[in-house]
Amino acid sequence: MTAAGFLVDLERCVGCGACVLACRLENGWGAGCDWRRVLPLNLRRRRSGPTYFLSLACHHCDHPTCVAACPSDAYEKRESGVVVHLGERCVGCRYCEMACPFGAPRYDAGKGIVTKCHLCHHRLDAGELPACVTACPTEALGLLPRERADGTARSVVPGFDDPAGCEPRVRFKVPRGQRRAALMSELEAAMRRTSR
Amino acid sequence: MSQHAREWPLVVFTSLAIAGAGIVATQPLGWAAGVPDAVGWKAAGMWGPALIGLGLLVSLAHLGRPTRLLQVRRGVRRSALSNEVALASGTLAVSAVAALVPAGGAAGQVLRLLAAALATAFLVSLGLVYRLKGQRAWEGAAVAGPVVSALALGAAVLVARDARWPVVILVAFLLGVDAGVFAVRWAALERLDPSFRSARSSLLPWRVPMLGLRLALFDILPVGLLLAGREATAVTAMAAGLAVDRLAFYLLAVQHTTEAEIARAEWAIAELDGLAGLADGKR
Repeated sequence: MTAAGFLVDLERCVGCGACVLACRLENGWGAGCDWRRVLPLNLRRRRSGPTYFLSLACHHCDHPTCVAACPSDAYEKRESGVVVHLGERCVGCRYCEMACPFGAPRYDAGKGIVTKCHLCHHRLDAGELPACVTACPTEALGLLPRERADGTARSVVPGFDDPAGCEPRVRFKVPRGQRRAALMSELEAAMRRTSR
Repeated sequence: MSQHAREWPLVVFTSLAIAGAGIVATQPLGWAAGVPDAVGWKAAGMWGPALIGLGLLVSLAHLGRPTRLLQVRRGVRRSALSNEVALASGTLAVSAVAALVPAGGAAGQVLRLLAAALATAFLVSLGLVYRLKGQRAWEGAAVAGPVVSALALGAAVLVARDARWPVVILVAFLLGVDAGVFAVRWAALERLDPSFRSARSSLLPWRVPMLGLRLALFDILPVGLLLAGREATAVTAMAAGLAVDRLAFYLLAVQHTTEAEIARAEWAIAELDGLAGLADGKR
């Protein structure tokens, strides 16, 4: 199966965290080094902004800063597009943590190395979907095909940007409906007005 | 371990290595100005490699797997961090040998020139390590900070050994340049989006006293002390200023993360909500 990224449907995601639990059970990462996180936007439900959840892991970027920064070649961008971290080469310098603008590499203090999402490539090789995608009860999380871009999905939404030009392989299906679309547009316009 | 506590080895490493490399890089300047040299542990030249070596040792405490240190060779030329480690090691090796060879001979001079070139390259690489796209506070002038500060400190050490007016003037000039570079760094921090500032570092409200102390210790106070003929005190003040500089550099780091991006969106929603509330009030 060729896939190198996630498709997140912001309309469908209810923020239940099943994807996080499934990822942890599948890959056994310890507390504090979450490979996947569910980040809420506007949980207070202020009326001037949309409310949704961003379920995020490593984005397996087309131009990954972790690969370029790592001093020990502990990252490799595979032909499939998946960015894999090779634990046996990692010196635990955490330079990739500083380089990644998305907070994807996570330091495991117990092991003394960095770890991160590898898109469950062992499952993909066996023709299965990643654990997080399988566990999602609302089918909000899907795989992004390597070659075919989904025209209806967006690469940037309020709360997620690509400031470093890494070209992350993640796309978002935005909340549908006239009012929600208007809230989204107003928020984007407000964020463009503020200085970076 | 908290975000700040785990960075102490980097603060110590960069403080020592910048000071050591500054001493090594300015040695040829000493000959040009006629500052007498010495051989062995009494020579200022020996303090350069000693500080760099100690810094490199301390930096091992930052690694989760220090036994895998040699893996760092894999990234030479591609990774700025590998380049920094390779150049620091090269500077240490060449400057240590140079310090043991009499400066008067051709071999001693060639080794000292090579060590100075390596030290300068190391200082540039140290600045480049932090030019990361994921970092908001380590952009622009921050890259030039280590090399300018190191040259100023190295030249001040020369003055402390033998005060010659051309070197004193050079130190004053370098301190002026350093103050300019530092001011640009400070201004860049002030220009950061307020939502990023509040999302990342709880120590950012302390930036004015912290950066002000650094500016006073490293750039302002030493000028007066040098003019008053208190060269050793000036070097001590600069060393303390360098330590504060490195501490502030790491404590005030602002990284771009998705959490910070969400905080920026929340900030914008709160502002929009406030505006909507005002509009409702007018109706």
